Amino acid sequence: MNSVSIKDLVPLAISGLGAMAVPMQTFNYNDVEQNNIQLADNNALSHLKLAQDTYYGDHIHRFRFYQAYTLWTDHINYLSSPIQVIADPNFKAIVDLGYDAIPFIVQELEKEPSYLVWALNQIFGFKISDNPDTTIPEAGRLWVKYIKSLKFA
Amino acid sequence: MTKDEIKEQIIKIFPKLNSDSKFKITSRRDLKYNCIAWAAIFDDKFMWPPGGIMNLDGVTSFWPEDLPTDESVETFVKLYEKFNYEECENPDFEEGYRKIAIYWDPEKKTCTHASRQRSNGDWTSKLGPAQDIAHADPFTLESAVYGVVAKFMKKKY
Repeated sequence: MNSVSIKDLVPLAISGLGAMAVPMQTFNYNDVEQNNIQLADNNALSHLKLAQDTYYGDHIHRFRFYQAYTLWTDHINYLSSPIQVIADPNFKAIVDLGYDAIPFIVQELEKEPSYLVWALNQIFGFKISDNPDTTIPEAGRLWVKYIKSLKFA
Repeated sequence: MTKDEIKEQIIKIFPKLNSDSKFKITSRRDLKYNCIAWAAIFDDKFMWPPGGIMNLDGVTSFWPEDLPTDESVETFVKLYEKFNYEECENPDFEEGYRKIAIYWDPEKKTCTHASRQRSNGDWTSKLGPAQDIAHADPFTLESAVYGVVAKFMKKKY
């Protein structure tokens, strides 16, 4: 059995994510146990588990979101058909992140209007406005306001 | 990103624009409207047949109730007939007429884009969520993304 410290594990874990294709499967942070690697001590193990639930969880979601978002925007940048826009596998990858994608979607909507409002329609399961005159930029502003009122992002 | 950088990016997707002397960017990026609305001279609507997508914010409910809701070229021809356009043979400039071109993906058999002729004979297109551009004729936008021109229509000014 090998003995490794957290310092050794982190870069490997994060760089390993980079090799994954989109759409990705759930990242399994139990690799340490599954590969029979013994951590230096129990404190390190509990620290790692805590990190998994907080810091790394956030970074993994961020990585997944931006990987899918970058590919998606490249693919749909000149498309007018909403059907084609939401059929893109990278859009589905964003929606599959569910509530974990929401802080990043809000960040992007605060920068500029985006078809990402359609991801929010699918994650939350409703439209933010039933007014037929509501434009995509207006819908984006309404979503940001609504989500912030939930203290989500 | 500068205008020149945006132009380069657009040419990568629509290579025929590289030799189009009239090609220029004429607006900022804007998600309020799309090409279908822009061809009908709306800049505040996002028009698309509502088949299965009416649960999306910002996609206007403006779609005449008596029209089909699929993405076929015929459906878009019927839409523009509502704005008094009729089918015509070619995109050649005719004094007193405004023309539009409807594009399709021949493999998927779905409409992809529409562009409009301006009163000076040049053409204008809204590129998805991106900018409006001017171009010399409808054919310079034929590409892997928009496919080819399927129909021309015209109406009197």
